[in-house]
Amino acid sequence: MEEKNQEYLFEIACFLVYGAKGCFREPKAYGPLRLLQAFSMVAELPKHVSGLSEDEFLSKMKKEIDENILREMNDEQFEQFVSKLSLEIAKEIKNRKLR
Amino acid sequence: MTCEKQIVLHEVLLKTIEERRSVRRYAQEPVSLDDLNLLVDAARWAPSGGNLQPWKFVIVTNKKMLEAIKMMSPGIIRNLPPALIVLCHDEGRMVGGGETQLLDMGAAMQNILLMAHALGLGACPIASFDSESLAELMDLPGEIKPVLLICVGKPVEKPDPPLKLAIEDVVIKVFGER
Repeated sequence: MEEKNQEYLFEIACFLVYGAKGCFREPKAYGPLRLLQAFSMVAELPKHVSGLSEDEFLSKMKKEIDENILREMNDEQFEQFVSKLSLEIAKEIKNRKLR
Repeated sequence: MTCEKQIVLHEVLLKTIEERRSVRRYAQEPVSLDDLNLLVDAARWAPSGGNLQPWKFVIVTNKKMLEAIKMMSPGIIRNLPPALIVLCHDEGRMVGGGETQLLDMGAAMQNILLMAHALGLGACPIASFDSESLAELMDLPGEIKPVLLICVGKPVEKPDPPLKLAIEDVVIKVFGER
């Protein structure tokens, strides 16, 4: 199990570097796409790291991202999707920090 | 070929083309080497400029290798595919700049995708991967450059047809009979 978790950390690190490299030549929208993919990987960390417990909100966001990430969207619709996610996060920040 | 056979052939081909989808979710059952060889067999019949056949293929079903490839391929978004075909440009067969040979590779890719669909497999071409790193990972000779990954597996999804431009939107001029 320990080795698997270590591998997951390595997987995230690799993804970040290759995602960054791809951004130089891939379409502009792939930048935000890679970041959302990274979000999805980070949200899964509690499964791999002892001491971290599942964050229900992040899991819900991850589900939403995973389900929509490959849906056919033009750049404008994709931007709207990312804006919608950020508004959901804003509400959650408000909830966690200001209540 | 008789006229009747010709009609059946074109109908089957069009149906195969129209029904093929980019499939990204696969059952975790293995894909047989026989099927993967059939895909490569279809690819090698693709047309190529000067019949130079500038392609080479790497078939991967080894789980450790698949996992390693996924680590350098942000385009593999869903779970690990049970099999991958790495479509490579053999620059040893390059004439001039070789840019047009990428069109040949595209024809080979389409043959693979159509054959996969005809075999009841799902497949998806992936261009978001690091070619240099992949060549290093697989110890490929210097003249062999990976240009595309094709994930293959038994499909567990049937994506809706994407929107396609109508014929009248893509044919911009017709020079027919006088």
